[in-house]
Amino acid sequence: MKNVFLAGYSTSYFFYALTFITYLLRWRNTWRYLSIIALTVNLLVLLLIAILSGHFPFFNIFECFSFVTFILGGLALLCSQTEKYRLDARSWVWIEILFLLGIVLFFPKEPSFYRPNHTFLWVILFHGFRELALATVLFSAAHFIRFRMARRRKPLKNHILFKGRNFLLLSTVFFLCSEYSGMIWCQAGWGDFWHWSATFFQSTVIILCLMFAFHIPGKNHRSDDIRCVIGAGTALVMLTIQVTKGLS
Amino acid sequence: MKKISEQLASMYVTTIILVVLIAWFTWGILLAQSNPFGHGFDVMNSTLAPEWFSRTQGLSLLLKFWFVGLCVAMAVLAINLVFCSWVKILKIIRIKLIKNKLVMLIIHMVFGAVALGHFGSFFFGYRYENVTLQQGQSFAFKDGYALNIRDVHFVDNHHVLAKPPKELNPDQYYYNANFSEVVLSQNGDQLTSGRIYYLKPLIYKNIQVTLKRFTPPKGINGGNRALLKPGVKLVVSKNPVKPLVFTLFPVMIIGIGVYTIMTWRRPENKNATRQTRRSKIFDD
Repeated sequence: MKNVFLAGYSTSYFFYALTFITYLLRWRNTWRYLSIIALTVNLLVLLLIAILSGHFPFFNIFECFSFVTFILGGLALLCSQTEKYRLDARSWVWIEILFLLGIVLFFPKEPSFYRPNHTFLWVILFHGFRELALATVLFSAAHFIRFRMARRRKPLKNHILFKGRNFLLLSTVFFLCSEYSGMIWCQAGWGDFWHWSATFFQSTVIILCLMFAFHIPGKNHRSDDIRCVIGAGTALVMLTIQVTKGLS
Repeated sequence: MKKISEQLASMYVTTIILVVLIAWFTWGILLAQSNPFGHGFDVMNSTLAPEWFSRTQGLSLLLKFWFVGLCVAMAVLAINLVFCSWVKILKIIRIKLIKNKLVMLIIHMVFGAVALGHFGSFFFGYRYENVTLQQGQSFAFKDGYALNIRDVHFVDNHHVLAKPPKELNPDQYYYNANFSEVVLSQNGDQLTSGRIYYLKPLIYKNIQVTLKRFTPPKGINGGNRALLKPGVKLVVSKNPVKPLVFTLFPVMIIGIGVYTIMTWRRPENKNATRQTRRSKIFDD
């Protein structure tokens, strides 16, 4: 059974890589078809995990990054725009997907081990919203990176920055939903909604980073640049924390 | 005076405090992962704030410093929030009522109340961690309350209790079938009773009895069958600010959601829009 997951993972990785290459070459319909195939394979892997393990695919690095790449791929296909400039926001999303799947290379490609709380509603919501937050923050980071790279074309730059800001706000909503679910989970399991522990501090650091990104003073180019760096940095913090949790 | 209030309401102060808080919590992560200080955080989890500073708990000086530093930073952020909100309220009253700015003001106020509630939960109520009881045993606590274990119902093999939860298969441990029946009374009068399961606590008003885990049976050679049953490890807690935090937190999320929807479309700048259309963006 392990081979099925490995095959699914390799196939989706292969098709995402092909999508990225054909997208860079601007083969108009080819990259679109390839991305649809990649997303379909990705979805099949997720369904296979859910059916065979009996839980949602949110609980280890393989499961959660497969879920994040699926959401991210969907956003790239449906909510992004193509520019003449090769390394546009959409390209950065494909790069992020390949990077996530690259991280999975170092982790077991199999569903997570059974835990009694994997079927508890608030645990599912906690992890599910967290993965959604990661996917949307990475999508916004792609726009922030693109914004930092664009030197001219001010209206275009502002449009990209605004899109990044929108998805960062959306990510904040998802992350807070995850935190609220986590509070209920913690209250039911430990009798309190807060714990003095590294995991709770990590979540607080993410919330503070999100707050920081929205509280940069000023309305000039320099402030926009800092906003982009902090926004993209928040995505990196979230990703690092996710990987660290996967290692423990 | 005006200058001081302007500075206290400034976004620069907000960013500085946020950076300090990020650094402070990063330091907290490192402390929590180190052995000597990790134990200190366990003490903080099992008791309320006033006890952390008592000599009996033995919380290290560094952890006390860390907590006090955190409180100071949060206090500065709270002052900044109050001044900033006040300036915005004045602007809304005097200049113009802009809906999304009003929503943002409400979000900030709710955030302040949530943070204050969070802080209050460290001081109010009580918390008894790792209360280990066997069937028939009682635990007396504050205000004349007592908790009695009427029954421990454990269907699985007792050997699984020695294993870490990570190593248990679904057919080895049926968490939905294992429970304990508890009775909560005050000054001898029964208030409530019920079953507590893993992740399903018993709640009476603000008092919560949480089943943390089952413990291996104490004696297997004794004649009393009850002794053959596993025990339970419980958490008895009361947090009067819990309803406030659990009510306001979703209000804050909804507020941010509403703000996101309200501001999703960029305010129209005719000049810029025309230029954007003319620019190189195209969707193939």
